[in-house]
Amino acid sequence: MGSNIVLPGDYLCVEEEFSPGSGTYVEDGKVRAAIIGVPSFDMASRRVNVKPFKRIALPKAGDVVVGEVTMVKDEVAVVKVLGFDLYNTFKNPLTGLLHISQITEQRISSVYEMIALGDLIKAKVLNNYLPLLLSTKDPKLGVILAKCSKCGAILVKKNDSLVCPSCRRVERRKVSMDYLAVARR
Amino acid sequence: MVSVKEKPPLIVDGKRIDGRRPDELRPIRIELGVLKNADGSALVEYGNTKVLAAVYGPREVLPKHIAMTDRAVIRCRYRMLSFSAEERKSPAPSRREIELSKVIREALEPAVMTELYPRTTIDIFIEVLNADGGTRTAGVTAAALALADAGIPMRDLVAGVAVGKVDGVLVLDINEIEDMYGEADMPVAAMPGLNKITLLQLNGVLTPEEFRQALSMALMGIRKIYELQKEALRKKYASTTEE
Repeated sequence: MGSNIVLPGDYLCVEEEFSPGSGTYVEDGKVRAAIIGVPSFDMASRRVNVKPFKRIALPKAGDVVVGEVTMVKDEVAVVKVLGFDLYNTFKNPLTGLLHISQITEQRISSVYEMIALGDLIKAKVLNNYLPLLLSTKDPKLGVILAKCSKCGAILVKKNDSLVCPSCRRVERRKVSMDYLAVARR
Repeated sequence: MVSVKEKPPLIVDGKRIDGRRPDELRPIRIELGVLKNADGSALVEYGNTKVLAAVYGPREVLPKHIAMTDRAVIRCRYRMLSFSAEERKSPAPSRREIELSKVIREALEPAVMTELYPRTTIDIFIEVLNADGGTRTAGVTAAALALADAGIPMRDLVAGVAVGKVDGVLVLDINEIEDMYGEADMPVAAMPGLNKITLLQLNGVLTPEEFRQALSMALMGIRKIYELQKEALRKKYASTTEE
């Protein structure tokens, strides 16, 4: 296995044999490796890919990410995107934008109705560049953890509404199906 | 060491001041992944020259206005630590360090496939721990290894070495004394797999014939260093696959 490793610049094949896949590039008709990894020659699609040892974690369109809301304005919320999930975070957080039109299927008059500062949200990525554009339109997407705006206690989900366990305040959010603090019946 | 005002004999019986032949490299040591917090890192020694390189990214650009919409920006900082030279170096960035940062960045830019990560930055930090001639070329070698270690797509590894002329003889991989008293110093960096030169500077005077000789000597040295780079990377990643 160890001798199978290719390094940047290593010659793999000519372009006519296999077309370049991920982790490769073409220079002068020759397919070469661009990253450190293990090459795989796919006979069915006549494609050569290099499987990387270190994957560079930048979210692509369609990926689901989690983040913290760092700023809320009337039309947009700024989100610090932390990672693909809470247990597997990026080394360097990215900036995401959640526009009012991407929060729910229904029309809302202000982002403040559905999202608050400090909320933890799960969202889908819509584009392939920075800043990431986010959407929470799916029932699975939305706020996954929120704090009471009055006392700061973590809100608990009770029959589709968020209730503060210490001051009984009821708050409105675009709640995800995967909300983390759920009241036991 | 006592600072010598007078020029010592640099070539005695065809041997150099440190006992090497004119076309011999200094012993080279490469260590990879030495820094935990960096995405990629490398420590490179050319004899007594010791250079540490760390790579971060691709990550979000701050300040945002320097981001480019079609590719990643590469930021490079070359720095000599205060204790790296014989006499204490002021920690403030000098004119020389700012220039070398730019020169090293331009030596690496043709290798890195920046177009894959638009609106991001790749930050390269090169710290000279001990300077004994050839720090910029050791820096290029270390930075290329750190970039590969970070998993950043590259067209080829970049390796560098300096050629000098001392007492009328062309010598490979010059050290501090040879640089100080020599007639010429020519750092070269290249991508040997693609036969492309990415850095070429010349300080001093060479005849056109000497220049051609010096260049082929440098490329020979670069090929040797390139093989050492590949060996080091293979060794690191072969052991990770076995686990």
